[in-house]
Amino acid sequence: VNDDELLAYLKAADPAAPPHAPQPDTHRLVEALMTTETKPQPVVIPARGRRPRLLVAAAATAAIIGGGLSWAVTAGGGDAAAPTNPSSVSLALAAPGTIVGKCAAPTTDSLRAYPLAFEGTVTAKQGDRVDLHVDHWFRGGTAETVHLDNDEQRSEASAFEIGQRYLVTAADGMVPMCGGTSEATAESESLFRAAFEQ
Amino acid sequence: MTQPATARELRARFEALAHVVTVPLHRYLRRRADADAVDDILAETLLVLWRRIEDVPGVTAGPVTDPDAVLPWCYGVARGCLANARRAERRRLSLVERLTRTAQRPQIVATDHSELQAALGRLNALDREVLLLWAWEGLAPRQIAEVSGLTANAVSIRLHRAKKKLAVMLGRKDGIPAGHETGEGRSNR
Repeated sequence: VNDDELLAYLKAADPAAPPHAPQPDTHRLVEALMTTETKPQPVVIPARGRRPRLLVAAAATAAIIGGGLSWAVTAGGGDAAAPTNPSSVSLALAAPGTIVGKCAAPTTDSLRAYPLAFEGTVTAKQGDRVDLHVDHWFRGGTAETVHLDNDEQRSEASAFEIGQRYLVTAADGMVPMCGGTSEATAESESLFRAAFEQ
Repeated sequence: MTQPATARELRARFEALAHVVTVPLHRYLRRRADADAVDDILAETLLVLWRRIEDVPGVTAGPVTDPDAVLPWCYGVARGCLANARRAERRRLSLVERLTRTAQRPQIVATDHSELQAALGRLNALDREVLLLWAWEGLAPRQIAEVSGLTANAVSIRLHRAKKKLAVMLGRKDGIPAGHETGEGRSNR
């Protein structure tokens, strides 16, 4: 079996081979997006003095924590364009330094001090903003996505890499750099489980 | 991005991009996602492209002319959205539902390709994706690297290995009919 034969064989099995493929209505899709999304960047709406619209779950969680978090809604997050992404949380990165190497090792007790803890995968990075998809909430949230923002233009965000999983803790809307936030490893995961699930 | 673009300019850029990439992205998703999830994931992908319109390589103030310059990056976004949708789906479905679904869902619909489907299923996910980006999306290793985040060199190695594995699996079962028609040209977008 040479390359050409293999290619031909694979192409013959293409489930979207042109003769059978229905065409998406690009015009309609663009229009639908434009009527719900007016800004090209996600709009972060701080919760202080302004409650998140639409987000019953997020609001309920914020109430449990005490409203200290900076909750945010991605523009159009609750609309039909993003049905799998009904809510998101925005957190600020705090304290200079990098995530790894400069902090005392976290313990179950130090982790338990945080009202918010989750495991997430970095899906996007833009400047000082990092988007994570939440794989698991250990404590304090229900949102599917979390945005980490760094207002002070420092470079901590560079410690996050797209596609990597991280364990994150937060309090008062901030992710302290020595709060146990780290890349997810079997070891750190079991520490988080021990802290929050036992 | 020498100076901030106006909302109108950004919209024009996005519309030009959408008209180039929507059909190929739809095809990419139809090849990989459940049929009933394709439209949602496509909408999600376009949403991400809109939000990140200023980051899409190859998109400038003028009309988008070269699909090859923009598509690999956009496939990468679709790939991420697909992975998110799968994760969400896994969480949503109970084990029983999941087992039923898995049993019922053929990845490649045509029944006469069941052997190929089985062989593809035995490749690891990244090898399979690299192979399919080559065969179905018609991408070169350099472009596959942009989609997958691997280096071009790593893609070439994986692609070579995946082809070899697949050929061995199919050859062993005498899977490829002699004189199989190629049918159409190289590019399958």
